[in-house]
Amino acid sequence: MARRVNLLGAAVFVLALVLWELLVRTSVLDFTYLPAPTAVGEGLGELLANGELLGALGHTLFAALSGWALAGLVGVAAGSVLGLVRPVWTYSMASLEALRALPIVAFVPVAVLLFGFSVQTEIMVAFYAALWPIMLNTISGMRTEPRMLESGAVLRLSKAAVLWKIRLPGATAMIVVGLRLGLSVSLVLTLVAEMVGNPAGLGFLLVEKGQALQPGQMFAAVFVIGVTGIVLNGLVMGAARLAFRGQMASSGEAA
Amino acid sequence: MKREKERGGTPVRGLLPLILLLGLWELTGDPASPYFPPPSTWVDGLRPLVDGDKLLPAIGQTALTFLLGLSIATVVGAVVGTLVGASRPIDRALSPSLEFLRALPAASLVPVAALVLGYTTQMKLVVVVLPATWPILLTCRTARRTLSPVLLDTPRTLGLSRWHRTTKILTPALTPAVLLGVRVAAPLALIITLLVEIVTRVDGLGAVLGAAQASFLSAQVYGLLTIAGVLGFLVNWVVTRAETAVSRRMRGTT
Repeated sequence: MARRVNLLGAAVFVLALVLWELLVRTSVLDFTYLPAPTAVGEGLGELLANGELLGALGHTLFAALSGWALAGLVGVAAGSVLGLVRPVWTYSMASLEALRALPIVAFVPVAVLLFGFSVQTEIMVAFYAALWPIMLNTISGMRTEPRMLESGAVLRLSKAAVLWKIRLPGATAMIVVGLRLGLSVSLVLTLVAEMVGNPAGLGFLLVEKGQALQPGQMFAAVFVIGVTGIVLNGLVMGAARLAFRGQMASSGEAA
Repeated sequence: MKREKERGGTPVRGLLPLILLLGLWELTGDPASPYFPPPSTWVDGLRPLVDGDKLLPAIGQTALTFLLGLSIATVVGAVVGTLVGASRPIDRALSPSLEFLRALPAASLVPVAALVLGYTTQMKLVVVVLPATWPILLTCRTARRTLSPVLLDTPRTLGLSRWHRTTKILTPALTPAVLLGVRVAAPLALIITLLVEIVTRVDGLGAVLGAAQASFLSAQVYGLLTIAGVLGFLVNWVVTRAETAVSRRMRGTT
């Protein structure tokens, strides 16, 4: 798994930053509020120094992760029932698909209406957003290969044992994919809820810095959001690899 | 999964719980409720918008931004994806930058674009195009990279011009991948369109929805949510249909 460091790629990334800096400095890119990378770095320093950044980051992470964890519990449980019990699936899947067609962001104003400008709004929105990928992936993950079930029957496994030893391990990789997707959407939707609803966290920080005409600090916040997303995704992947070694590899998710 | 869908997909019977829920809501709901107005009041809630001739232009604005954004994203994604996928060094050189840009949540770009570009229709387009490009670019890149060498050697043997090589070999071979990307990008583009409109309040359905929420017109909010849902459903239906139809025709080439 040792990966070679992509020097060329890193060089291009740095080069792009330098080019951006030069274009802004020489006013070729002439937008009033487009900061140069160095200004973004300064903004990051200012936000770190006055503590705004860590507070906002903590708030956003708390809301996004609570919603995501809740969605993980409910999504895996509901998805398992839907995936395993055929009649339940027949009599509710179409409803779920109709609900899923609702663009999630359009749900944010409704959540603000119901829960007000509070952290509950954020958690609910994060929960709702993450629920779909987790639940749908669990449902399709539960469709175990018939041959695996047949070997369970041959070995005379009890129903509980089939669930625990065959179905769940078979579904793990799919569930982990759902959890990853869910985590990134719950982070995004938490940010939206903060922009539209609850004035707190990174989402609000962005809007606030925009209105205060602080482009450097604003881009710094965007940078932090991007890095947060990458780090969270990496953590979920790492945790999943550690916890379910063999099961992840079997479905090619390890790549 | 796919085969199952072709055999008729999810049974319509499954709509039962949703219908029951809405029925129950209608029967027990309090028309004056600020939180859960029953479905029958939703239409009344939308009436002021229809009378004021605001609803249709708003839907039109949203549809226009969405379609234009998705088209630009498709062209950019397909072209850049093909070019990046064609050359190993370019791929290696660009992928870290692309990965980082892709990791930026679209939501965080909205306030930035609003500040840099102002509250304009162009700003809306930029915000929609950027995230919608990724799925198309990535599927196209992978498809180009894994293209069978035989397919690429054939035009060389036949002495076809570069133009014919592009139109006769590359385009048909990569179209299914592009469409697959579009299928992922389309719902995303709709979501982002609504998102920009809700956050910046620049025209469109999202702006109306945000305004309705800000003035606590709950029946109107639910009505608009339903319209957004119908739009989402339509978009999904059209892209899925188009994708299956085309990939069925092209089955031989991929």
